[in-house]
Amino acid sequence: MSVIHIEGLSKSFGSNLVFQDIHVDIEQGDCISVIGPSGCGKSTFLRCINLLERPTAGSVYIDGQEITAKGAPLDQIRRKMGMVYQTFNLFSHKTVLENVMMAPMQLQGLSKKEAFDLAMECLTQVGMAERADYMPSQLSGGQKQRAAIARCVAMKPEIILFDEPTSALDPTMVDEVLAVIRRLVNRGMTCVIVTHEMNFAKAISSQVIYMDEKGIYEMGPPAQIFDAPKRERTKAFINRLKTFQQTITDRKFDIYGLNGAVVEFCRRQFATEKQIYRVQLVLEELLINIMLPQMKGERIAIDVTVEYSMKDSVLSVFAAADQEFSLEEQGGDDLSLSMLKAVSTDIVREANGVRLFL
Amino acid sequence: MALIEYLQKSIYMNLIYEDRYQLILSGLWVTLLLTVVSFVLGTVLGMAFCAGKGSRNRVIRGFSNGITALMVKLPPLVLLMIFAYLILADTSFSAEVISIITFTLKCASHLSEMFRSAVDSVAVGEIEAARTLGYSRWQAFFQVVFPQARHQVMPLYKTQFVLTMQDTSVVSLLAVQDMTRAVTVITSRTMDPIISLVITSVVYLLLGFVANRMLSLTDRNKHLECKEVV
Repeated sequence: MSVIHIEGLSKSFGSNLVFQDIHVDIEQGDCISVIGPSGCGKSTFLRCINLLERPTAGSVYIDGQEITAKGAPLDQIRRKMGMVYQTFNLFSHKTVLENVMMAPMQLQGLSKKEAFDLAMECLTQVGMAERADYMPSQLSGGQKQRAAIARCVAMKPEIILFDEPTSALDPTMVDEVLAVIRRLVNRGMTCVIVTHEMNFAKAISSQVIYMDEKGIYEMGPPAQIFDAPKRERTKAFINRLKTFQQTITDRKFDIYGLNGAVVEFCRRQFATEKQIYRVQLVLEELLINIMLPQMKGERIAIDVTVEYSMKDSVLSVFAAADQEFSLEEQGGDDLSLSMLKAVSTDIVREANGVRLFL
Repeated sequence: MALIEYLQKSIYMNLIYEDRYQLILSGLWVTLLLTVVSFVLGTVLGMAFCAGKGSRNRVIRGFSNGITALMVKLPPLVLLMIFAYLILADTSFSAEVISIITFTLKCASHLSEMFRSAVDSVAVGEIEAARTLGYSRWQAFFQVVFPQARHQVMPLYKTQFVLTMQDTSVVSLLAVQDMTRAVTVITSRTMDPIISLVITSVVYLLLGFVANRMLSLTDRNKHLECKEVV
């Protein structure tokens, strides 16, 4: 018997159809990641599972109990199913400890002492025991999210739904939250995670759902979805995740904006700090000091592609122009070239472009 | 010397002669009664209006919005005349009851607007979080929305008490003997307004001050700390 059984689920807001006819079975201990482009209905799908949004059609069974049925004991069923939000949603008038203790005391009738012991156990699990007496406003984003997870775990749910748990966090705080989620999954918690952290999804999930075209477009084990997707749109989506591509058409383009975007991309790929530093240096030298001065005419077109290969953790930068250019002849100033040579392991000339490996 | 003599005479004429201090005392009692009753009833009715404004039923929502708009925009004296000479003219209600009805409605309307904005200021996400933990709508409201909204509205709520107290000073129109009326009566006899005016002002001030302190006490938020349980 599946823990979550979803049958013909559809949702539309007015005339705007979000998704239709979704069928999924989620088994005990499964960790399902839901990925897909923004606006494809991932979060709405998750919110339909615990009826924060009422689906337009279809039914959802939790542990064999239909939550979408008329007059179903919604509050009882929801206690089996925790939810962690992008915006944490801690009760801002309560301390961390009170946040965690509240529901077990008020809904499950635990005594103050029992609830306290349970809360401290949950807070210890997420590394927040020290901060039990803090108000949510005194915490960092990552700490808030960990406290929210503890609040959720204290209800001893069978399933936890994560709605983009790290999207609102500073990059530096993402890891602490992911580590906590990983621990829950490893201990056999059934999880459904909507996420943009592809590497995390790849490492942790038992199944990955790719949502697109108003439904589940492709579903399979992470190895299939991330390394050998079968369908067109999944391929395109995964491919976009692995490469960064931008075309420069203006001489006065924003090098720092470009670098910022590249850095963000590299971080997502878990490139090393050294590589991230080097890729910025390479882009600046190559584009500003070598390529741009050689371009003729007002109209230019330089394609910049950055790729990260997870297999051998090599970052490659590819720059191609629609005009001829050379790396060597630059009116006596070879400083840029020697810098490029110093930071890259290999430089390869291609038709009208150059590829550098970092 | 002349000043002291004047003060002695004035205090005597304004307060002691013909037991005029009793006029002020009974005025104080009436003012207090009108204010407290209107404010307490107004708070209850204000919550009802506030709920009405958030209702899914269009009729209830329209009624709540309409009546509060009317009550908020008309001045207290005009409202009192409308109730005394038009709406409740043919009833046998005493002037005091009519005043209480008027100020209850006015106070409730002001409060409902404050309550509404305070309730709306609580993040929807927190309510959703409570619902997913298994709280019912009512439980979520009382455990999550209400405590935060109460804290949010407190400064305005305290101000509204003072405003209601000030509004009640127009009841002398209906010959209700409140504190303001007492001063008018005494002054008309003594032709010397200083002492009684000063005393009444101080009493109004003290009333407002004490009420604010008492209301502040209801907004104490006590948190459970680790070391208490251990």
